Amino acid sequence: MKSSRDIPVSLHAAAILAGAFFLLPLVGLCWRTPWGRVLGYVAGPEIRDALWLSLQCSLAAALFSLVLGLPLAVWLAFGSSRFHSVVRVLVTLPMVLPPVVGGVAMLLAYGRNGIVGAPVERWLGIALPFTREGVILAEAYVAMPFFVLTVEGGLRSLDRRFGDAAATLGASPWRVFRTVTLPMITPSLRAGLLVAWARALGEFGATITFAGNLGGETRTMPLAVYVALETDTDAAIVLSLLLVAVSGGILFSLRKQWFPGR
Amino acid sequence: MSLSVDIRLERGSLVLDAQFEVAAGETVALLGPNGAGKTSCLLAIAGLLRIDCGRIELSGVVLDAGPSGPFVRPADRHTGVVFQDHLLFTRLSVVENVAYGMRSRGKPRRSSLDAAAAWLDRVGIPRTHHQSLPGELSGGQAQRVALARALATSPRLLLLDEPLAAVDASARLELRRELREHLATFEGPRVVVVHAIADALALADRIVVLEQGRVVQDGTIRELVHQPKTRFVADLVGLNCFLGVCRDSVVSLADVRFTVASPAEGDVVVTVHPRAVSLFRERPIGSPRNIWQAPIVAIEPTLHRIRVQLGGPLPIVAEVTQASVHDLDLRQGREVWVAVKATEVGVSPR
Repeated sequence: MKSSRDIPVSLHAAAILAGAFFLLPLVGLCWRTPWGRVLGYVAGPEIRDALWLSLQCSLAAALFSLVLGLPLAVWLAFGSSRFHSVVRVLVTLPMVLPPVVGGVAMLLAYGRNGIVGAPVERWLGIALPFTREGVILAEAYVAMPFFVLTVEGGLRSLDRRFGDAAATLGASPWRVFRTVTLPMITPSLRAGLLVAWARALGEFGATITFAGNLGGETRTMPLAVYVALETDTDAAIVLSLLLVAVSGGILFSLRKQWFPGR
Repeated sequence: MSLSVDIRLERGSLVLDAQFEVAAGETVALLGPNGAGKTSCLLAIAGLLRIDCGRIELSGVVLDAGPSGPFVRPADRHTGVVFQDHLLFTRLSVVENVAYGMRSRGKPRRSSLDAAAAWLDRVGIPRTHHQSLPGELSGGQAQRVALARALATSPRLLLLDEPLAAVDASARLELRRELREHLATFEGPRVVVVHAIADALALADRIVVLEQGRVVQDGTIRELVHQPKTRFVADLVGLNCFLGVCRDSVVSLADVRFTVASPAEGDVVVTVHPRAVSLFRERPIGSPRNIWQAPIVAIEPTLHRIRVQLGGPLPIVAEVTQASVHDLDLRQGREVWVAVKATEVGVSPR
């Protein structure tokens, strides 16, 4: 068993530096927090609405990623054609694209004048931009790639011979997937859901571009921080702290389930 | 119900081109060096590897006849497969593993579990282990569970990939005996991939030897011992084996000329049982043939006899008693006289 004693001292120093790099912004946040007025801010309806909306939409986006992303991950993991690599680039694109660009592109596709959005509104009377559903869609656009790539990785490192064994026992492909493949990739499903949810919770650019910034309707926590920064710096700080506390708290409480043994 | 196999396929550096038959109630052992294509053969028969051309037939039904021919999916082949590392489903209990095949074929849960428990009883897994996870089992137990899982689906054909490989030596003999009994009660064709000749001897009626993707010998163990066709087979059965050319009852092997009692002509495989090789300190008088001088390279004790490896022009192994090692004062590096009687030399055409 390796212990931290085996690591060279110079690496230790660099690691501490890197840790400090992440710690100091949090220290700065706590330093400037107007602790006496925190409760007053949090109790206010605007922050409460934003927090509630953020939690709802990010969870919905994570769920959306699971339902649509799982079949996509399976399809990607079990194929190796040129078409597959093209689709993989397409799925990865939102990870590297500035989210604002993603938001603009989504407006052009699913917006009221978009190539899909316009006919949908005409025939079904549904408009997505500037609604809660729009927020979920924008967040999922940015978050789903993390889920798909994580699960695809899990599927690729899977020992397919277990599926073979099930097939010789008479199991249909669907039964193999349900009873052998899915249970074996639960760790990567969990990890994928977690990163997708975390990404959705922090989403800003695509959301503000596609879903707008309507208080109580589409103004999620990151948007609220942005608005507050221009009017009331203290409010922005309290909001940021709250976001840190919520994300950090959830990560911490799930650490045993999501990353067992670490 | 008989299995007819004609497999031709390429997989990485392996070019498999193997043909053999297995009758109902017959056990055939697939034997060969690593990478000879034994496991690929099993996978192709199970339908987990498509063949490029050829034909796999089970009692007249074509299972696979290459890309353009008919193909029966693995799930519909009713083949019981015991994989080398068992591949028990790690998140299912032992009894659920055995019930899996019956559940897959639509049998209700309750009766599947009851039947699975009965199968576990038959292979000797105690009831206390039925609810365990596979990870808690020993190698021998996992092997028995894997066998029960394969048999529980009432397969038409049984395939076992190195069933004794993952078992430690102490449990091996007992497991082999059990395995032979279970094989004997199974009515369809059985194919067992084995690594050791002893396992093949114990389990199989016939041995198919694969080397570099081809069947180099197909016969009973008797035939293999008396007429091994390749160096690998000879090594397996513990014989000295050389390739040479035979003219008028004289075989030229490197620098040594062997007089033999065989009418064979041309390229031959020469086998000499280690016990037929005699060692002397002085040049023996009398029969003057097949005598040469060689240094002792190594001396290694086996169960009942001592194996003496000789160097010189013809590397050969002699098997002698402990007493003669002592009497002749055999030791490494010492030059001795080696003699082989012409009647003790086996010669078969290549």
